[in-house]
Amino acid sequence: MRHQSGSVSQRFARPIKQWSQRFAFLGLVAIAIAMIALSEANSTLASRLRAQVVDAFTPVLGAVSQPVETAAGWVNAVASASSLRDENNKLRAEIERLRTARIEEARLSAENQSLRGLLGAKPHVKGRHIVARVLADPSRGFVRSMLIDTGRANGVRRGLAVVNTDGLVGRITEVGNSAARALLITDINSRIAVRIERTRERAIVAGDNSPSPKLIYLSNETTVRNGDRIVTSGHDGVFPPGLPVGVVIAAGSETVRVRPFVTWRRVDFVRIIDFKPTGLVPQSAAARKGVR
Amino acid sequence: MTRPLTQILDESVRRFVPVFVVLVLVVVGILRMPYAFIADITMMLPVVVILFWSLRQPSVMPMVAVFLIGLVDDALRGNPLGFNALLLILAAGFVRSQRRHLAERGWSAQLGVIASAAVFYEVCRWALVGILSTSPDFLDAIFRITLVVALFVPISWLLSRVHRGLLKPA
Repeated sequence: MRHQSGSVSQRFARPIKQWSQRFAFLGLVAIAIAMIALSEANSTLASRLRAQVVDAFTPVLGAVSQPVETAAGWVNAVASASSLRDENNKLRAEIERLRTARIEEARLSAENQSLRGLLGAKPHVKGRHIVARVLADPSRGFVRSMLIDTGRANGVRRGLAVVNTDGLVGRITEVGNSAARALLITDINSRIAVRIERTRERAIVAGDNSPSPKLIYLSNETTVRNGDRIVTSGHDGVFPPGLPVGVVIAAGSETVRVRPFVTWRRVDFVRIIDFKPTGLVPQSAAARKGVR
Repeated sequence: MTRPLTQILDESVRRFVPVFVVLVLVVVGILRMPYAFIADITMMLPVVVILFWSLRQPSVMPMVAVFLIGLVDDALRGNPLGFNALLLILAAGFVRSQRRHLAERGWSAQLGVIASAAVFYEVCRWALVGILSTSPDFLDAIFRITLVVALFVPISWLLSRVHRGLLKPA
């Protein structure tokens, strides 16, 4: 009986094995194409799957990234040793400039608070800040993003703004339990509501996978020029207003571009801002007016 | 004659080494590097190693493993799932299809096949990027093709030693 069942299983197993070997390649190609189509059609499901894989690899990334960053620090130290004197002089000049700026800033801050007190205005930026370390930066590929070592367990949610000391980095697009992905402002899918600080004109910074995203939806009478600072306007409800985004370059050309303030190679730590805009009228008062 | 369990386990582990090496390279490929050119190199290493094993000993780099490695890479990079998986299995399939023509040929013929596979990989990538977005970069593609061919020389030297020491020929 055992001999018979062995030969029966061989009779079925061998053709299946031959068939699978012949069609494995085509089958995998078909599965891959189907998965790409599904990722595009149902990005939520794809995001969840990616987040789970990132969660699984987070301990490995965390363990491997530390020695790589240490080695990178040594490389940078050796490379910069030759320019220490020049760098020292530049830093001294920068310190002097910042000391002067700090005095002016303190004066402006006091004046701002006094004026707000007179007007009874509420501060329009309120929120919680979560500090995170950048685990990986797979931005050489198709999607411009970075992985950070904080996730749902620390209160991170999709859509939260990600900043560093230089300016706006991007926003959270995928969240796992212990890690999250931030889509950079240079990514082709990134759109940010901004304004030109000098003229207060509104526009959109649109990433196109290049180092300098485009500044679009400018009015025909725009007076934008090179060197204009671009900050978030807050009108999209995603980013708090006033976050530095970049500076205008190529203003006279057909496509106005923005050079981000953030130096991507030097982003080691970021802050995630859980932004809760309060508005000028409390929600309950607005609701009561609506009912009347 | 049945083989001892330790021998079976030893052979299984050895056969899994190439897949494990590629997975490690995928993780390394997304880490932040001090210089952009190092990041470019580490990004292409998994492709080079997969092409090498597909050429030398396809049995240690089965198509299913290539597909799964591509999926892991897509998930870590934030690509649409299946993007790199499709490119890798197409490139590996191309190399496998050329193996029978390389029986009597020398090393330069192998390099020619790898260069063709790199071009094929980039053409497919370019087409896919063009379908999914609007900005495939021609110069970037040329750079990556050159990188794959350039990396294949030292990688194949290194992995040939691994092949001899760790794995028995098929």
